[in-house]
Amino acid sequence: MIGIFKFIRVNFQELPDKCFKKGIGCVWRRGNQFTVFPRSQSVNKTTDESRNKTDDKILNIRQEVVLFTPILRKLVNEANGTYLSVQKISETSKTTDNQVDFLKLSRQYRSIIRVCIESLQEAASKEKDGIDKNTYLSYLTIFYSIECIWHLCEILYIDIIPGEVVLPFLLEWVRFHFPCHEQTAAQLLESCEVGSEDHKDYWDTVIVMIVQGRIDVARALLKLHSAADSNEFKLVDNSLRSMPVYSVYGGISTGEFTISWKHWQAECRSKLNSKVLQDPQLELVMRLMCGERSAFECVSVKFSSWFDLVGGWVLWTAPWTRRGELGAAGAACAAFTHTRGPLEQIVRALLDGDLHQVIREIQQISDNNWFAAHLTDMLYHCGKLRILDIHQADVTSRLRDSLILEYGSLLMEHKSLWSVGLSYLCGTPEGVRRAELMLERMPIQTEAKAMRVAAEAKKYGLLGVVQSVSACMSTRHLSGGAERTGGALAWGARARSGPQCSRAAHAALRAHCAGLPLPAADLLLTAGPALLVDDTLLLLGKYCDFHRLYKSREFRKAAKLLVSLITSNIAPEYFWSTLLLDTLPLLETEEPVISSEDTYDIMLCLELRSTCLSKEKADLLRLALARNLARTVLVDVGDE
Amino acid sequence: MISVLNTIDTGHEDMIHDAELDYYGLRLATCSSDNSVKIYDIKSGTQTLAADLKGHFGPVWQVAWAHPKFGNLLASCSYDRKVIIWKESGEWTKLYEYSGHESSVNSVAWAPEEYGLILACCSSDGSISTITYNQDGGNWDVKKIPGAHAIGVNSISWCPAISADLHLDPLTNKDAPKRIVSGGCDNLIKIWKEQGDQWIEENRLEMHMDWVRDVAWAPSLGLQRSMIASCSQDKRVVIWSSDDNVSWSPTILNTFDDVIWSVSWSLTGNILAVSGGDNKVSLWRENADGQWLCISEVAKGLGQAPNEERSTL
Repeated sequence: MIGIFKFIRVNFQELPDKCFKKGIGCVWRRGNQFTVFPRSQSVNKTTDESRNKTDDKILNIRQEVVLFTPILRKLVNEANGTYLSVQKISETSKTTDNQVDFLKLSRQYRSIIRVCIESLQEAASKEKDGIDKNTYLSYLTIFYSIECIWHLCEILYIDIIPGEVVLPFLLEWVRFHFPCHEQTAAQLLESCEVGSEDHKDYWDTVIVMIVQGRIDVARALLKLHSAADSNEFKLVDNSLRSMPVYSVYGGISTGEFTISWKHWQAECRSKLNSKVLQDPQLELVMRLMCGERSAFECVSVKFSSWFDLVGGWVLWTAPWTRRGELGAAGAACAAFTHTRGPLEQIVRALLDGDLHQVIREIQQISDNNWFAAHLTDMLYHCGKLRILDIHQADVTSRLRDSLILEYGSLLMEHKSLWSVGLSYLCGTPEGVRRAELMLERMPIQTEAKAMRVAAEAKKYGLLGVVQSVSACMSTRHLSGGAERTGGALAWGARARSGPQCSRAAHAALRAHCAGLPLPAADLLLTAGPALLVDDTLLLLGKYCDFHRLYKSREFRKAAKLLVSLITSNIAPEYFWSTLLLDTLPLLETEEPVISSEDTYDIMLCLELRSTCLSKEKADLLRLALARNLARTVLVDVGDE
Repeated sequence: MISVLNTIDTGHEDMIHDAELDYYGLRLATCSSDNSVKIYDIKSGTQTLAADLKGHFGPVWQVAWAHPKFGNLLASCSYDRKVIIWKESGEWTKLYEYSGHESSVNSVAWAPEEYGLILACCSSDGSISTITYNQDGGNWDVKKIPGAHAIGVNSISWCPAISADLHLDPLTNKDAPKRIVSGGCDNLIKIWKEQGDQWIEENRLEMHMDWVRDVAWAPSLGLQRSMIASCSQDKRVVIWSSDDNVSWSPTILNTFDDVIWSVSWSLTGNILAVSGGDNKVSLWRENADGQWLCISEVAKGLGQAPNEERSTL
């Protein structure tokens, strides 16, 4: 969609070119898998000599999915929980302001990323195999970047910042993600030796601390210099100590703060111009404090990228900057270096407030759009996202939906993450239809899997899927032979499909005629109105009931039911003999149970269908009927 | 990143004309000029030949799997003017043979499962047949559209049941009219609608300047829009879209360097794979502005160096 599709790398080392020369064809499998085959449209007039095995090969090709790596499973599952919470909160946020809740959830996402990074670090350190180790390290790079961008995004769009003065947050971000000389500083301070300037990184450390706004650390380090008591050191220390710091609760307005801060910096500048500072490094520190561009340019080489400088730049040039106004700072810092990696681009776009560009860029991170989908969703629900297409139409929700759909569809391909995928898909009407299409094609190897798919489908109201899965299972049982008609019946009933039930019921009746016991009797006895789906199923159900009554020696009731089955004429041709012969024991009970009228009816049916019984059996039945008639014609079977 | 999951040695003795994956993507059926149809089980990186079906006496053009709720059924059509429906019960056997065409049968397609077990096929004799399984009688009923396309019909595709009538609620439109799209040697694409007990020509779409080779109706996502992709000897692929299944508007997806033989929609209908005589498969997607963009190309002979492509969408 609006974003950018993953870049696709095809490495066809083993591709047997030759067979594709004639033409190529392609068919889709589920999800992002497809099959490529050599395809020809013409009839080949091969001679007999050349007619031997071709080297035609068929290739199954799929997109590699990083998220299906076992180590990232936790990330997928946990993020799903947070995603669902975001959806829930956004439902309520229509009426109330839920900024705090969103912030909490954003932090939850970040802690999920952190946990993932830690497990990757652990795995990488344990891994001996070079290739696997590299894979972990490359994942680490990906997730470090994600963590860094998400954090900045949270500061700029989700966090609640008093007075919108972003500096403390920005410094925190820089310090957290780009720790630099932190350890050296700690070491130096711990050993607490005067004359620390002999340490090779002493001045670098001091400068980094200044740039990252760790004023206290910088001052403590300067005190360790052997000349700390000299005037010039005292001067710098004094300036550092007296710098005004903005606090929304400090009781002064930003305007007042700006004036006092500018005044302070002017003082610093005059001190710098008075040439008191002899030590060149100390002078550099002062120049940084004065916000001199050249000084920043000069120290920029000490950092891996320009955004390490952003916090310092804002701190020493305009500490009152609001969070929406960071574009200029970004531009200024970006000008110091020429590195233009993807992360640089994204941070720059973020500082510029160009979220469209940010989303475009983060889709190129090789995380199968885990990040793009979740971040976009978060920003969308916070109401911070507004994306316009070239015609100035608002496509924000479309962008968000398309990312969520892609992500959900991707998960649907995994053998166990598919249910997670469903929860993403089923949030939009289009997703529901996609879920339906994909669920129906989920390979089902076991009964349990079929149950699971049907249950999940039911959860989201995808009754079509339930029917389709059940119908397929029913068919599968049916083709499995007479012993499996019970399963076929159960699934047929679940599918509520007349034809399926009919086929299964016929199979069961035929199996019974062949001497097998009736299947799934318990199911049929409790099925109730579900039996009405199909006549044959109804017959089977009633017939089961007849057997139950007979077994519990309720002969009267059994006889009544059997007679009604015979006279209703719903039995299929092949079942008549069984049905008629079932009357035999009932005709010969001690007490008569079949009335004279019923006996007449059975006689009539027997004569109409005498062909379905052998002559011998028919005569036997005639005899039994006649004897029963003799018993009942004078003293009939009374009503109960 | 894309990787080759596995490679199947087909063992066909002549060129392959079609390959189709079953409903679950676990089995692959191929057909070839060697008159045979082969079925492979493909599971996690391995594949085994499950069946080698011999019954045709000419090159087999196309195969199609039926919905699994009808059991394992495969239809194949051939130059020998026959359509064979194969059924697996233990082993694969011929279930039904249809020989109602007077020339090569070029394409077979099963109807959406909602309609029951119905197969459509089309032939170089210019006609289209639909073969419906009648469950009560256990027999097959044939309906024919004679003279559907002059010189011959190359391809057919069914309209998904859910979008059969876009104004109806998808859950209640089981009785919505069935539709078929066909492409032929008269350079036309035609849409057929079932009315009463016959098929009538509802629409003809003119755009291609040479034989239409393949047509594919996109799976429906329940959106108020239907799409059909068509490709032709004129090297163009056209996307036809409609809000009501009655009036259609074309968008030229691209004009390629060579003849395009086939178009295939992904399961959820959001990506179109186009393949043709230039030995390339390209994947296409529509962006928010309604433009169709290529998202990747799988070219043959990339063997030497990994090819990296970045494309915007």
